[in-house]
Amino acid sequence: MRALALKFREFETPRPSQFGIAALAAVTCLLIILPVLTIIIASFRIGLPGEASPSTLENYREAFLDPFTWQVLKNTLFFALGTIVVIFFFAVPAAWIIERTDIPCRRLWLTLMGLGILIPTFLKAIAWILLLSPRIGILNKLFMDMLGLETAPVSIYNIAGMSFIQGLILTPPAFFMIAAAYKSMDPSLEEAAYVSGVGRLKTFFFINLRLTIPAILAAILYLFITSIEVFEIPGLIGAPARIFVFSTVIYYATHPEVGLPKYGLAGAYGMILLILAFASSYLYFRVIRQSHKYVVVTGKGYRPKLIELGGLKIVAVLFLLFYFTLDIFLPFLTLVWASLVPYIQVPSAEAFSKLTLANFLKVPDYSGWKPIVNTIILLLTAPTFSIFLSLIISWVVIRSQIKGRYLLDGIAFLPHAVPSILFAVALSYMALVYRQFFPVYGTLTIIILANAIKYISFGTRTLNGALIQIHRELEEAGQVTGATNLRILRKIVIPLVATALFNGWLWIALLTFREVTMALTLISPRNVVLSTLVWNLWGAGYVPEAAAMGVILVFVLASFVVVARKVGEKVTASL
Amino acid sequence: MKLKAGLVLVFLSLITASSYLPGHAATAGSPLSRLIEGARQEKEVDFAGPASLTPAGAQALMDALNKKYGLNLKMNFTALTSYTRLMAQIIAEAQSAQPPTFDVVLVTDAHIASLYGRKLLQSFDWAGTFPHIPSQSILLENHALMIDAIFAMPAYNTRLVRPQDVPKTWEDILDPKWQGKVLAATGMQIWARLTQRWGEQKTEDFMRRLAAQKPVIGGYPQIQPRLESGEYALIANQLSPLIAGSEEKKAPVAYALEVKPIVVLLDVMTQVKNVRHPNAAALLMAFSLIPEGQEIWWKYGKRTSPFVKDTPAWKFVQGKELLFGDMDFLQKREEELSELYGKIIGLR
Repeated sequence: MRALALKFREFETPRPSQFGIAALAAVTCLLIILPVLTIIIASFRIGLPGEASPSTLENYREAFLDPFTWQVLKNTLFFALGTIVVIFFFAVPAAWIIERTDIPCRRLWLTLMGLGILIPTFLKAIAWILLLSPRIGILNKLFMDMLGLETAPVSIYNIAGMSFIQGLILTPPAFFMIAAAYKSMDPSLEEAAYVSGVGRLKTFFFINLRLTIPAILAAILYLFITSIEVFEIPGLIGAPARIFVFSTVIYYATHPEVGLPKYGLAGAYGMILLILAFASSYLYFRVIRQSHKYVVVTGKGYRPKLIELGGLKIVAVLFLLFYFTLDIFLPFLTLVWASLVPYIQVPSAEAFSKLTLANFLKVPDYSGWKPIVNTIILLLTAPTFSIFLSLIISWVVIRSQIKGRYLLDGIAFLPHAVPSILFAVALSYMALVYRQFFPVYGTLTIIILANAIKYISFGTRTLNGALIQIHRELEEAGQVTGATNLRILRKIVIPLVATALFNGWLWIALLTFREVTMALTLISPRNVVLSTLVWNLWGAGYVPEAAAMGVILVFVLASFVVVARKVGEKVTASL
Repeated sequence: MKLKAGLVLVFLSLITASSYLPGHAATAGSPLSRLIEGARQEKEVDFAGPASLTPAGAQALMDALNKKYGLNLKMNFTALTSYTRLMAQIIAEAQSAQPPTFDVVLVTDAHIASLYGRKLLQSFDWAGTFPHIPSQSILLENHALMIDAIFAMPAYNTRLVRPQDVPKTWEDILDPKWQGKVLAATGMQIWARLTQRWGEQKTEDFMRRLAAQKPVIGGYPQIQPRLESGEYALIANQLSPLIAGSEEKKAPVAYALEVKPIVVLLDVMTQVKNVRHPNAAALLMAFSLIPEGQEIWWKYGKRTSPFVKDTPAWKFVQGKELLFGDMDFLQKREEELSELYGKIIGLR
């Protein structure tokens, strides 16, 4: 017993390799903190970064003394909370069904979950306008005909409508964040419940749900901030109806029709996001401090086993079909429709007579090889870099005893809380100022770096949840054999969190693929990527052409997801 | 009210005076031949222009230029959807003494003042080198060329608006029958420019009444599909390239042509100081104003110059009452008025 206690104390003492990892984590922090500091400084100045300006509170005065800001805050919170409700209505049951049960075609559901993100959000917004607009919405017209109504029963031009669509769109990232936790869950706890005569639903609520609280909470907090930061749905559906949230207000501050961007004012609005992010990080720390409660992977009898659904199988399949119809099938059909018509119109006999492939034939005019090559490099490097840094940070936060490690986790969350446009402006400014030391201005490297840093928050949320579930005794066993921390990380930790690592990598790759705000801000003739091409087509009013490019990209990237998943499964199984 | 050369009532006579003069052949030692030789050494040009031009359009422009001047320049085109972001980038680069990313940029007359005021633009002897360039196209003391004009006016869905109901004046948009059926673009500079004709009080009243119509607001390209699809009947302020694009696709969309005055926004090309390929940039700017260049700008961007004879814009402006933005007004009042009108209509 004394020997074991001695060993445990030894484990708590930082060792040289632990210092190495901590140093790497510190460098990562610097990469995050510098741009964030630049934004904070900009919020106390007028004009563009680098322009002479005295320190001032003017931006804060303009932002916070206007009653409009408090209305925006209210809208933002309602929108974000509504979005979270929709996300968790779909994501938690879907994660349990797909990862813990014997649902048929599991691989198909997993692939579909990764496909939703491939449809550009602005096209999903147009799809929902065509479906649920009070004037031309196909579903509304259907309801009106069926029920004999004179006015449309549903409208998406309100906070509930915005939350509904945004919630559908953000369900897959929530799924991937919590799926790993369900997958690695020790079934002995469920089996104990079943042996005691507890039903499947009750077991789900009282065992599965409870044991995955850290992963679920991490996803809630991450997606709450995401919901506050996302622009496209609030911009396309909310703003036209004068429902403003912080992301739209920041957008209009940075994209005025006349004059120059007001980065300082946007920075002042951004401080609200930072405060919310710190508050949510604090909540999150409180949970992960109790992390020992959620350990489900120990050195004894770890053997994930699937639950037999029996007669509930059909209900589970219908539930998944319902979600994918709303998030993928209907929007994708609309995307295909939009790509085949000369201009956006509601399906009709006349519209069918005008169907054409002309938009597809024009696609080569809009692209070329360079954006394709750049996108491939971006997709392979940014998520790899991001997930590597995330693993280092998560390991330090969850596993080490280094003082201030929870602060490290808060720092890792920062890039997510900072609006993308401001983050990119800050990076761009730093690249200009320090170009003699780091010649990355205007290169693809700066876009890779921006994405890698931005998505560290996603990577760490995913990996924290997975690491928490692994008992320390497995690493202690490694320590007893004299292995270094790096070896323990490589031989014990990584294989156990391989699914989370892969899901995190794949999802960051997809987020990077569709990320457009930072890519547009950092653009030069040398670093154009496909997401900016699609955005530019849409921004120029070429919606059918953008849809045609979107359809092609969905097929290409669907193949990428299928191949990546197969390779990922082989690699994780071999670890 | 300062109108200076900005306000044009009868445009026809002005246009006739600036009829196209063909570009002369470059003689050895002439400024043009030196420019061509300089461009040949530079080998490429970095151009940031409107996304509507598309990479194919930019390449077509380069191919035609190469053919005309016997060059083999490479075009690096960057499509823009935000001019303000470009302005910020140019200013940041200049302040940190970084060579500009772009040799030549196309922006609107509303944006160029930010660069001109900071003395970031390079001047060039356009008239001495390119006699074909209409004098009205040379702006800001040789620092910029006006390549095309964009016309702003109401547009409507031809299936939802009967011919007798098509707005004939700006005030017709305020008819209660359009309440809840109108779209309005976020580009408030159109209303700001109308103050040059109406005065600030009348324009402000107009904006309050427009706000009472509860228009659905959005970016110019974002509201166009909603007009095409029939979700809304009218756009209060739409730009000609988008309407021309819809007409080409045979969408049920048309201009409200009787509305006066039609507000004009100018697209200008300019080069910042210390660019890497100044000769190629100047050639590209000048080439855009000859008929071959204008043809490409129309084919891909649905925009041309009203100062170049026989272009679609030249034909369009015949007999029309136009309202240009006075440069002094643009620099001093446009931003402030645009913000005010944005707030009135509910845009923040």
